[in-house]
Amino acid sequence: MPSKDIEIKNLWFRYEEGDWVLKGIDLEVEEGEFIAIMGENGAGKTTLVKHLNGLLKPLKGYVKIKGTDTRTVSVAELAKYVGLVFQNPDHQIFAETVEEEVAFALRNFGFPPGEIQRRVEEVLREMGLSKYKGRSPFLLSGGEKKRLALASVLVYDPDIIVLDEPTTGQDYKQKAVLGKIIKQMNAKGKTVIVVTHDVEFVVDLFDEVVIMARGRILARGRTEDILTNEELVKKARLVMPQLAEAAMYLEDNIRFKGNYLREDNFVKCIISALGEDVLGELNAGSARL
Amino acid sequence: MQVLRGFEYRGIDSPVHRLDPRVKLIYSLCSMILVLIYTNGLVLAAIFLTSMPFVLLGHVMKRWLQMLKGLIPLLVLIFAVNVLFAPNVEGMVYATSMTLRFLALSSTFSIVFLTTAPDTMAMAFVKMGIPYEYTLAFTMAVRFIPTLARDLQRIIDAQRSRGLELEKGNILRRIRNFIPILVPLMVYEIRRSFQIAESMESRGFGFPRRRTFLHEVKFSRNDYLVLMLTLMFFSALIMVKIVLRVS
Ligand SMILES: Nc1ncnc2c1ncn2[C@@H]1O[C@H](COP(=O)(O)OP(=O)(O)O)[C@@H](O)[C@H]1O
Ligand SMILES: [Mg+2]
Repeated sequence: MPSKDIEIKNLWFRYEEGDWVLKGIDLEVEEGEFIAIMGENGAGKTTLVKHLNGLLKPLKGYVKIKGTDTRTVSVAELAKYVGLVFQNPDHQIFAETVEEEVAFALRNFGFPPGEIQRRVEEVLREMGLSKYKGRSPFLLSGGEKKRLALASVLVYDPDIIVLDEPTTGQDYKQKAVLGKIIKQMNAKGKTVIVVTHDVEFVVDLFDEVVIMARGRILARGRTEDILTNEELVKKARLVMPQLAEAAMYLEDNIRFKGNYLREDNFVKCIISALGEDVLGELNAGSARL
Repeated sequence: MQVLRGFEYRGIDSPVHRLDPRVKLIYSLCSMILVLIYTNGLVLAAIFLTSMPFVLLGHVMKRWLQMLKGLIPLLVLIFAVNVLFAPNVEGMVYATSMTLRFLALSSTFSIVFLTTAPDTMAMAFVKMGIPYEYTLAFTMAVRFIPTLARDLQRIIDAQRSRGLELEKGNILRRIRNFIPILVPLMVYEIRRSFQIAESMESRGFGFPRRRTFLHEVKFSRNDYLVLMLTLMFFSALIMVKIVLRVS
């Protein structure tokens, strides 16, 4: 049986001022899981992930990482197991060179110099940043900075990797690169949690989603069940994936059923709904053109 | 961080909030002068207590207390340093009055900021003849304190997540620990200020010669009342200083 990486029980939290931001969160994540957390702005997603390495401590309930209560150890200790990458890389970039920026965590954790060198080079290669090694990190483009921030956490090889809004401000191609990188991390056995409200990104990559709204977890399940649930999506104030929306429209008008979140399935569903004769006509029509 | 909250304006309504900002500024200026010329503990305590009506009528007790709580480490430091330089009874007395001085000063300024909208303050400055550019710099600085505090928190969170331990090591190491916090903060804020300058220019800032305001400030009966009380208190204490030669 796989062991639990993250165990959150009845977690309540609020900041010094204001109302409860997290209201009784229960969440368990097992080793090697690959999950997206979705929810509108202000739902409490960032507050939740800040509990995973002890930056914030529960006011009620508990958070356990690999069986250890986060209240009993330091952030630096937890950070060895949980790599948190925040939304804005400008909030962490400070070093003179890209290389130094990436080495920062390794130095904090007391890795030997030879090992630091080896790891930094490897991760820069994986992230396609090798050519900027000696340059100032402040001169990188937005997408490159984002990858640098990711590299500066991946370099120390934490078991659990948490990314907060990794796709904001990224264009389509950069998103695809990012998607590939995090998929690879999961393939290597890492537990990966990604906070995002980019629906298409989730549909393309994740089999499992957690939906948050107003400090609570509304649902957790398979992407195709959750994101096609109109009521749930509306309650969480998310937008439906475009294909799901198109499918719903079609359902109302022609007989149309099935798993239609991904393009290939969607096309298959359309073909079977339309029937072969309609297709024949269409083909004949396009042949005339 | 908590200390900053003690200077942050919140848009509630009260007689103190409605006072003309110039009156509040005169009050804090008078307090400041008195605080600086007196070392007598009783007088300093009295000056400190003049904050109370403002705090109570202005419904800012919670914030004000928060500010005082946040000041405690600094007050202890001031006291300790002063005692350290003169470790005898006189030194203790002097240290106490220095601490009271600082307390009274923070309190009066906190009241002004807690109960006056930055924009209203700016208008008062303009009315007092200060060029609008300087006034604007002031309002923007005040306006960005909460933003700055939030950025700072985010940066600290990000660096701690990468294993930075601020409290670790000897004093030199501890100072070095702040580099990964201060560098991103400075770069980020400087970049932000350029962006703001650009967007202000694109909206024509600095073009019109004469500026007008949507709301004007004017003295009311309460303003005259508070001004009178302040000046009476001020001149009374000045007299005491001169005539009775209280330290
Ligand atoms: N440092 C803070 N101090 C006070 N309130 C905060 C702070 N950070 C977030 N909040 C509040 O907590 C709520 C949840 O915020 P957050 O966790 O950032 O949501 P999300 O990441 O889902 O957008 C919001 O209402 C926000 O205003
Ligand atoms: Mg967030």
